[in-house]
Amino acid sequence: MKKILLALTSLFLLAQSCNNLDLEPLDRVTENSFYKTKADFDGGVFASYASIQKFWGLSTETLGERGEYWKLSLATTDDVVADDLTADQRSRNLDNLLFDPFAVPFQSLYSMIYEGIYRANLVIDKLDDENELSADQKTQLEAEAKFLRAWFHFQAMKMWGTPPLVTEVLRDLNSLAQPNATEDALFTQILSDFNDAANGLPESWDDANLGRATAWAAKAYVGKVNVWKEDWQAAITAFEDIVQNGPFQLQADYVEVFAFDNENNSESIFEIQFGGPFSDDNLWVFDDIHSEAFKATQGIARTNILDAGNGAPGGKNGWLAPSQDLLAAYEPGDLRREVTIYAEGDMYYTTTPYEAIPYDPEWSSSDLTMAKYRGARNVVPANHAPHGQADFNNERWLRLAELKLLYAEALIEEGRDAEALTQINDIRRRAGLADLAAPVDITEAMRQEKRIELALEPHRWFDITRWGIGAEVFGDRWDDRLNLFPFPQSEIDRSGGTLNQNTGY
Amino acid sequence: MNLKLLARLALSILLLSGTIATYAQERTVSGTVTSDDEGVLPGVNILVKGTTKGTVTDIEGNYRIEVSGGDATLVFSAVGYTTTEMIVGNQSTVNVLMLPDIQSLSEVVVVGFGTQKKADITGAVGSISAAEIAEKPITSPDQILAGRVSGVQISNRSGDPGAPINVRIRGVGTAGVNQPLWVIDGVPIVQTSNITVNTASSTETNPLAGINPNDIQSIDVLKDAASAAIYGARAANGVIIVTTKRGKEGRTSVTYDGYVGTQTTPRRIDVLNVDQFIDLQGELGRDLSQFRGEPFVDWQDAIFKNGPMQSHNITASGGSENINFSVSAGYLNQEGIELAQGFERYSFKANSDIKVGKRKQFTFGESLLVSFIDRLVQSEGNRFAAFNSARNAPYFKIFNPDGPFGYNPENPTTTGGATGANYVYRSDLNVEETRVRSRKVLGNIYGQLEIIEGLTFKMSAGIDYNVGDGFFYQAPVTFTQIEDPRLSLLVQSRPIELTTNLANTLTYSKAFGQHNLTVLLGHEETNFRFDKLRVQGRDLAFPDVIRFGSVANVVAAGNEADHWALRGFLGRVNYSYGGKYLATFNVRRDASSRFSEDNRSDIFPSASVGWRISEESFFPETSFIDDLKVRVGWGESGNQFTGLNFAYLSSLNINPFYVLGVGQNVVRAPVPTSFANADLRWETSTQTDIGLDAAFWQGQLELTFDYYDKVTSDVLIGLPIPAVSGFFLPTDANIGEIRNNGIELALNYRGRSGDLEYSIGGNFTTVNNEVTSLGEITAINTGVGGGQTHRTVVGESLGHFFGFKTDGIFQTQAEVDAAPTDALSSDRQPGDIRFVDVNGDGTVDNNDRTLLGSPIPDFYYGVNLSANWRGFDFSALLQGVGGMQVYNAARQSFENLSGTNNQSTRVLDRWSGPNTSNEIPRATLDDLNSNNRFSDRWVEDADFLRVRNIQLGYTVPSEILESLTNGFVNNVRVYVGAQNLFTFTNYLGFDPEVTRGFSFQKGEFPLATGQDSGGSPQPRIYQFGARVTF
Repeated sequence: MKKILLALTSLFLLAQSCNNLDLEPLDRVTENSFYKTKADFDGGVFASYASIQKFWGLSTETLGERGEYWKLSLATTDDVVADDLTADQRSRNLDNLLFDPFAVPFQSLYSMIYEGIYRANLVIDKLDDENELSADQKTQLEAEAKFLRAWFHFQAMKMWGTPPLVTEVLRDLNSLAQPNATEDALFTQILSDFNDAANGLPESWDDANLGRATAWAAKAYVGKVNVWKEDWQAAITAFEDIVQNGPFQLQADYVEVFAFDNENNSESIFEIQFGGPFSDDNLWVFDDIHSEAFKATQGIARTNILDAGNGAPGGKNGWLAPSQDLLAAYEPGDLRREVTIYAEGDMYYTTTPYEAIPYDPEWSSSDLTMAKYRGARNVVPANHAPHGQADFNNERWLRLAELKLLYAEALIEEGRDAEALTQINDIRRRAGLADLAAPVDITEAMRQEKRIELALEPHRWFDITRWGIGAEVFGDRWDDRLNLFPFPQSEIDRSGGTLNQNTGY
Repeated sequence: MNLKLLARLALSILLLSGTIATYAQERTVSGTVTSDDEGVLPGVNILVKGTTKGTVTDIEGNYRIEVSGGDATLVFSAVGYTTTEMIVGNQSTVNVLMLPDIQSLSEVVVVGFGTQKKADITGAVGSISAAEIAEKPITSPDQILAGRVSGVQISNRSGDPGAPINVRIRGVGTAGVNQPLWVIDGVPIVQTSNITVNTASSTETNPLAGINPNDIQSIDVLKDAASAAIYGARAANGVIIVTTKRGKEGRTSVTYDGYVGTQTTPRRIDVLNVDQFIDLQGELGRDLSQFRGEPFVDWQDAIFKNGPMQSHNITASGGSENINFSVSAGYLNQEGIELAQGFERYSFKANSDIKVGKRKQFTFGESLLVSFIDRLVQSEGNRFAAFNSARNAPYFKIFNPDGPFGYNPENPTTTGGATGANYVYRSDLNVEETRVRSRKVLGNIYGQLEIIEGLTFKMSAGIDYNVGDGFFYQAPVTFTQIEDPRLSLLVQSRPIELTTNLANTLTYSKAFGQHNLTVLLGHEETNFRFDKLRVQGRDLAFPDVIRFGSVANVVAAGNEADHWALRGFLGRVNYSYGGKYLATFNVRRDASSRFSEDNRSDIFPSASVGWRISEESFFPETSFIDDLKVRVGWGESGNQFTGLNFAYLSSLNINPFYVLGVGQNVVRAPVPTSFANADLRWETSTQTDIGLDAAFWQGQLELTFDYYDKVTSDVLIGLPIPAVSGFFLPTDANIGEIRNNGIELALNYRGRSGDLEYSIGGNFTTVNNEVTSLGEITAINTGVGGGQTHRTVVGESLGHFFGFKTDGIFQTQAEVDAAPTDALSSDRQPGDIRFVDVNGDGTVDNNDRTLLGSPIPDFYYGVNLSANWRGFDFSALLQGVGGMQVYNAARQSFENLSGTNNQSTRVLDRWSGPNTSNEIPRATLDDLNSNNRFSDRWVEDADFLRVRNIQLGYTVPSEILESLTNGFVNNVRVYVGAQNLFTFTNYLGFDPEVTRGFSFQKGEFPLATGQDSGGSPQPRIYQFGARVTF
């Protein structure tokens, strides 16, 4: 009997011995063990940049994103049409100015913006904890995180007008929803963050870190945000400094601006980095929310979504195409046209195999196809994933040409038309166009130049709404509510009354 | 059933029967006695009525007895069975099917960590016997639950074999994992979706598909908290205990069980013919007239096929007084009813029990199940092939001699720009192949020692080991014949899961006079560990070597890993007084690694009492009521399954990257990708059950009634949080309270008319599901794939459909002008849908979305019929579900009236002028009115009544067998059957039985279920089978 009891007791104790319930994740790092070294913090900042990559991302998870930022920023404009046959419904709705608060593009961009803000705030939050950073490193990291935080807030503001302002990590599950911020509060915070960034960031980075935000980029944004704020004097101050003292210069040839072998060039002020091949799966870039451990590409699906569809070689989608209206807006002899638009008579560059063939207007419902970031300088194997559906060229988000036109706008508003004309003519000269000379309708000239110079880059829509020219551009189809995007209905619903929808939705 | 006991009882009945004179002119009558649940019945007492002459069936259930005269009657009796009388007449063979005794009061029910006589049960337990499981054309054991047990509902995600199945016991209690805990031969099964190969929900595979239903002896469903609480932290959804077949004392018998069958498609969608399609596209402004006169291509016909099915099982079992064993092998091969679907399983089972020691005080044994499954599923590129191909332009051809492999390519020449995806080509296994393979080892060993009389110690150790092998291959082919071939792609995933389970129990049983007491104390610990390697590579150099060695370029590898552990202490007291007053108390304390230390452990108590009124002295003996018991139970149980493990702990995803530097180097960017909720804790379900068991007229009619009320608090929800938090993904949170209550009624009537024995049974369950609290949250809006189709609010059912209400169609411009403005419409014309301004504020906007129905049924029911007549047996099972809606997303595509895809013939009735239709709107290319927005147009009543199974069998008379085979063959039954023969429903899709919609995230999605994405319907299966015992 005793033996039996002893045996039972030992069995029981044996069972208890492996009783550890303090388990830790096996395929993740805990927050408490991270954010110690410079590399940890750099990684934290990169995560915030990575949220920008996702603006154009493709995902099979959650929302099923398919390059939503192209749709929001391009399909909406008079420069681009959604192809009637091939385009997805989301693009077609935006092209038709049907802004549905349920639509994935709004939800997707809203989520990515606030993801980027959270990631920047997390870095700032962690700087104060115990870590190995020097004071200088802390200053620089804080400046970079603030740059990103301001940058994301500015994008949100351009889209929604009065989006929430988030300057700390939200950790209370019961009060995650944030109210609309006022325009004033947004401008104040954004400008303060960009100014801090301008003070704390280096003027340039070493080769290994090229592509991170610089002090000059922050200054450029101080100017640009002030244009949105219509504080023209402040904008001029910032732009003047950059144009006169900054390291930037226009590329001699427009085609160079977007060439794959000319990334982070001297015209580029802020550029979103893409690269590869890194993973085998080079289209689905939402690596961090994939439900399986999955290394995705660091590429962008430009070629997949924007190259010609409708039977064009290469097997692409051609969802969005330049409009005939945009083509007509080019002056004769404008060198930028063929860098921007494929039209009949042009050579079309395609992947798999890489070759140039005559462009066939049958491939597009508008008879045109986007050529910016494409063409001979970009349709090369090194710029593409092996399957030819993703490319690796960076997105030139803010470049000197745009800044000069913003500068011109501020000068015009201050009545300094002659100086403005100089800036505009710099741009025209590169495009092979004659200088404009006074007297001209300087505002109209600036707007026309900006439309053409930045065609098919994600700026036109935000100029239409800022300038208030929707009715002029779209006629009867216009409704003033369209000046702001609807907040995603999911966000309104989840906020439980905290966040207010924009008027008219 | 203890055979020795049976025999002894039979003998005593025989001796007590008294003596009566015998007759001359004797002749021999012989036969076999069988029962549904045990097969042949040894030890059955047979008496010639009015005489003392009797015999007992042998080990194979055979008997031989001398009778005299033509009016002799044989009386068959055995403990646990209804005594049956048979008039011999001039027959020389009398085979008897014994029906279980009234309410099977002596039947033993498996409860957690022990067994109990059904008469003593105080909780709500439903049971299914082997006879109801065997010989049915089912793939996995959960399928058998359909319509058989009150309170239990199942629904299949898809009709393709091996697809996941939702099992719901008493409603939907949580927003997370609702599957009950399956305990198979003592091993609790951790159900995961880890063996999927790709992320798409359509490749998810039923984790129970590795279990061969033919190996199962009984399934006991512990429905209420009082019976399930002994499983504590995992019992909130109920517990299903599976016991596999074990050997019995007696001669070794070998049984072959097998069937062959064919599966057909019950229903198709009528789509437009070529002219109708071209007319519609012309209306939309797309000129496809070049295809006029082309023949109609029936794409559904090309994808749907008759799928053969076969199953073969061989079982050998036997035993002596001290040892028994059972070994079996099974093979199942079931093709799908669509191309690129199939399921194959090899399964092996072995178990034994051995008693040793002077007092036979030491028992040990083991149970081992080994299986290999190989499931062929449609790949990402050809998923829902039947539905998707029906969307093709009807002139788009399947074959083309000039096309790749002879298939028609997909390009503007062949499609005209309309929808054309060659699903026959894409379903060719040389083009795309996805397989989910898994090897399962489920084993348990136990040792049991009776220390002193009544005091038993039992130790049981089990493992559930699953090694998956997901395979996905895309061949380097061209679909368009314009672009060069895509690169080949190979993905393999190798998940390994190991669950270990150790349980120690000490049981003491003692009777003191009228008092009966059983006390159980125990400890159980479960560890789960998972590791999954996923490798992917493109551009294979050697088409015949589909291995990573063939991959020239980049090979990407990913790795997921997880682990958790659970520790429980448990105790139970069963007490009864005089067999009249019954009580059971359970308590279990569980601690789980899935929660922070502060919230880790909890105690789950339960208590239940029963009163067998019919045993009281005041109960009239002459009553037509034979048995009457009332039961009342209350208890708490838990649920630990958060969506993400370690959801309480903030952790960083190491997969994000960014690009930097002159060399454009990829750099790491680790970051948290889900909101950590440190307060996360157990979900607790509190359930009250009031039940009544009764038997009438010598057990001809049995009735079980239960009222249940189950309240789940601190509900574990995958809560979609505001994106302003920085997170895309829902966070795990304990939110609010869900109540499920209703009644369950089970009735069974057995009767006899001459040689015809029959029974009619039915069960009926109501579910009233209501969210009673959401804490501070006002509403949770969800949908699969980021959709916004479902809502959860206080006062309504969990995850109901939420969208716009429609009110017919604008017939005239005047009606359009008079209607309130619509924020989701940028242009309206006559022929567009009129959406209702529900809140009456003069404008239609998102505040006008309203409740459109619920995917949770209000009630469900089953009807069982069975009959036996002279060796013929017939059974039928009907199953029905009512008060349920389904979001028919597939129809949304078939009736969009704007796309380039083919439409259902319903759109022929589309609006074409004033008063031409008030249901189907006009065709419009851009749909500027958003006619296709989520609205009541797409939410359909999905009530159905299904003839789940019909079977007709014949058992060959034993003397024929004996003379033919010289005693070698013991029992032969042949049968024909049909599964899902008819489905009565008004639902417009392939099949009203759906679960969640398609997305690339796995799991049940209880917050947004009931969505038809166009999956395969349940196949109609015709079956021919035989059972032979040697």
